[in-house]
Amino acid sequence: MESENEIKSKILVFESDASAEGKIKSFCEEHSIITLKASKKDPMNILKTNTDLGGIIVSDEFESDGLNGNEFAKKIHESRPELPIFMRLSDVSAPLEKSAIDFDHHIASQFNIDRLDALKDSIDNHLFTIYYPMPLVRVLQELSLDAIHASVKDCEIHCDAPYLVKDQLIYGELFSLIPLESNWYRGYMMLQTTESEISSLIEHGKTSLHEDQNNFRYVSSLLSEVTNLVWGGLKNRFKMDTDDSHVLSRTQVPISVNHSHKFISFGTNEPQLCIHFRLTDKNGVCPSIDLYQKLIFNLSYYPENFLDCDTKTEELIDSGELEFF
Amino acid sequence: MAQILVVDDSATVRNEVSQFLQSNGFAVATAVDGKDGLDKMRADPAVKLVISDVNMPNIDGLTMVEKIRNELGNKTVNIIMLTTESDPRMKERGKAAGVKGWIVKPFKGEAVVGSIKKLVG
Repeated sequence: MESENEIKSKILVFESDASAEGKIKSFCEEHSIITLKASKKDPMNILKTNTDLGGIIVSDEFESDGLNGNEFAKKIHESRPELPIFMRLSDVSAPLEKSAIDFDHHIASQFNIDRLDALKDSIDNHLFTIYYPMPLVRVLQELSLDAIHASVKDCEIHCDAPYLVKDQLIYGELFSLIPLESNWYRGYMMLQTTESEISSLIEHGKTSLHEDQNNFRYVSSLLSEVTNLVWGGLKNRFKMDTDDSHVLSRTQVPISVNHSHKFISFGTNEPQLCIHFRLTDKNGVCPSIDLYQKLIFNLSYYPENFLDCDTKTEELIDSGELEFF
Repeated sequence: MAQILVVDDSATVRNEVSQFLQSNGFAVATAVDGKDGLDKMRADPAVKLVISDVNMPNIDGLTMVEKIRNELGNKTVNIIMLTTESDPRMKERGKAAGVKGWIVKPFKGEAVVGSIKKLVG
């Protein structure tokens, strides 16, 4: 089992200048950003296969399918409008601030390779806009690893560093959703994964389900139980007390899903906290499973109140023991 | 006739708990929620122990326990809650309804099998 817990974000880079690319990569590494390089050949494909991005960097020199950098950025924006696009200007003397008249709405901001400070400011403004208390993130990772371990057998589980995602896309065919409520946040936890890989675990006896329970309903029930265990663990560790007297007047917003676009909206554009888990069969029989866990505090979020809550985490709950009354 | 009724909306948990109990020699029946649990209790008076989740659709676990005590008039069956919940208010409610014990998930059979044997007799 491995885990890291520094909060990062992933940015896809469309860049044709090797020198600029190297500088951008170094800069991003210094600022908790993972860069993914897109090739000129079929650049939209890497966009399609990465559903957990925080933003995009495009150079105005980048050319693809007869489109220049600006036109390509517009194409990306049409496909993924929730992703902020940071445009690198090759002309280092060009002004970074554009007038309202010629401002391109598909571009979040511009920078040049001599003004990476402008890129940092823009990334902070568009991406690192939500503070997630590290004790919460650390406990969430621990609980999730425990929940997955309790639900599958003979698997190594790797947990990546948590990262912020602006994408609102669903990974895989199935996801679970459960409300998270406390006196300092209200929102949802979502788990996303693929069906066939979990089905393979069931088929090879690596869960509590029987071979004759290997269909999509049971696959969903396995994901539900992992979700339930994490949810319960969070409740117990952080004492997610709420004042039930106001339950009828609490705000709600609709959650909308577009199945053909694999799009889910919680009504907010704030970045979601995402943790990626990879389950690998120790015996090498079953394919690896990618599981994405996302937290979306779309209804209320007051992380400044977390400290009061965190003091209670010392009262750990022993799981599995029978407490007699 | 079952000695133990396992009530949980999760097939994973039902399988895990019932397989463990069966491997320890118990006769086990399962129910998928509180409503199903009540029906199974009505149908099988031989049940000596109910192991139930709390958060379930249709009828939740604690309501099911209250109904077993009040509606079915069954005051003797032992009941253990197996749940992710550990809220003292919930435990108090369970205690008031005659719940005998509380296990916070995940289920670790080896840790509780001795106690279960005593309860089932």
